[in-house]
Amino acid sequence: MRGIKRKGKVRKTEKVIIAAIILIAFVGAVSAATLTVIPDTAVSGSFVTIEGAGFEANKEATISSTVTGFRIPVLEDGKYTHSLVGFNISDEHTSFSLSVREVENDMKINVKRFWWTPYWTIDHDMMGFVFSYDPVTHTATVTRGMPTPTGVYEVIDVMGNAVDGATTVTMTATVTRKVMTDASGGFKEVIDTHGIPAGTYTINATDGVVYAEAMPTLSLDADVSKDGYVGVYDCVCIARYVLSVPGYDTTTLNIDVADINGDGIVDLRDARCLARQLIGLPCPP
Amino acid sequence: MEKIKKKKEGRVRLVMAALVALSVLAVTVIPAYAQQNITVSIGDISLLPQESATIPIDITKDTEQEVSGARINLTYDPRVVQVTAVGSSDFDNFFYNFDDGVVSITVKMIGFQGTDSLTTPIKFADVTFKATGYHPGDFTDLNLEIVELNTATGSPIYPREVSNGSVSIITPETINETEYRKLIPQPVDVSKIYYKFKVVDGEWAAKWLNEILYAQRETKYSIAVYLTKTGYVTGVDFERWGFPTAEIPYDLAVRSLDKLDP
Repeated sequence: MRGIKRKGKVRKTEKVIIAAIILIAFVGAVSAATLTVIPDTAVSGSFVTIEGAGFEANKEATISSTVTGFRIPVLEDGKYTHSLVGFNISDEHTSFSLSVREVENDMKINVKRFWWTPYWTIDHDMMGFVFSYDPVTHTATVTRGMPTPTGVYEVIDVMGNAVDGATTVTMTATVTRKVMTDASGGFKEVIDTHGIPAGTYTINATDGVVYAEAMPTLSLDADVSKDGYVGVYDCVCIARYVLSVPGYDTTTLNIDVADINGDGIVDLRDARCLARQLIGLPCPP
Repeated sequence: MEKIKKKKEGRVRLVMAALVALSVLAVTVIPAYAQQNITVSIGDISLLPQESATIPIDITKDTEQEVSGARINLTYDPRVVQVTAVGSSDFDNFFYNFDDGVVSITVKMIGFQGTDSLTTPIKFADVTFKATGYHPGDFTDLNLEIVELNTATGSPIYPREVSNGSVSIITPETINETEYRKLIPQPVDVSKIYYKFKVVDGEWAAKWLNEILYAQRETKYSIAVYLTKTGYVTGVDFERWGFPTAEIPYDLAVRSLDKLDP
């Protein structure tokens, strides 16, 4: 019994030492690499640069960007729908997944590649799309693995029925891209944020050994028109709201994201500020 | 055999009829469809060296089309022209920004209406170009890209097309001292011009600390350029056979300028 007890103690000590080594290795690894997102706040539709450093040289790394809690309103007939407009996949080494919570197991995707092509309705595993459903959390997920056909997708609609009584459903979107690090262990990726849902992003990168998570939030607000796309029409909507044009009010627009210059007031300066941001100019002070 | 032959003939007739129908469809439907395009266009211009001209970027359509806003890019070769002004848009709100590339510059432009949308034809912007190229045959395309073009209710307008323009540099036969002076890239890197007691045919030589001289033995023309210590031009004199002359041949001017900016 003593022998067994001692053996047990030894094992416990070994486990603690191993855990400590893993922890030290992990902490060391985390502190070795860095990830920088420029700019850390951007409007959807602008370009964002993700720079990594401190990874292993000439190795494949995975960048993962996730937004959670994106709210989609449920319509009167119990359906939800969200459009990713102008979603740009510039590299085939890209995968993405969309999970919607509080929904029925009937999610479908409408994909329109170009304006002159018809909609493809995808409601079961096909064309590289894989569907899954968790009945406990009522979460429907669709995943598109690599390689993904590149190009700017005219529109990708996510739709289905919400569970009874739900007024909003929440979406989690993840975009994953594989990149090669350079000889110094760094990488630089430019991401087009067109079509990406607004929200707070968590961006991380790993090469399997080293992990980095820096500037974890990325705000992609300004979709005032609620069409899933930030562009010149959002400037128009802000201006029409400010000028009290009929049909442009809080019921039709998302005015919560219209204070572009952050001065606490929604006015014509916000419309002009957004227009300037869309072409890479700063807002006037 | 007769039956098979007749059947074959029938099939051939059917295929022929289908082909005829398709070609009729192509002739009638495609032009009608093409007419529906909304077009963003800029014209072609020719400029003398250092000359400026303003041309519009227009949004047009055969039928009336409401436009609430647009985002359009214009790309050109900065070795040939520079854009000195952008504006006079029909849109209430208009902004532009330059994006410098390695071999080209893009002007990013955005315009939108606060209240009522505009109806085609619309002047998106007036763009003023100044010729920076001075070599015979200098040319740049003016390439347009439609980033966004929206209806009154925000929907993208399709089908759409662009009609690109161009700038061609035309060169005169002769050039006077005033125009020549404008073409000299300043400041002149005087450290690259060596003092020589005698001028060398077809080369620049530093005659004094503040004067450089270019001479051509065959034509007997010479160009004297007076500079400050920092290389800025204070004056230009043309001579032939040692006597002042108002003008020199343009090709001589180009050759001398190329030697200044190797």
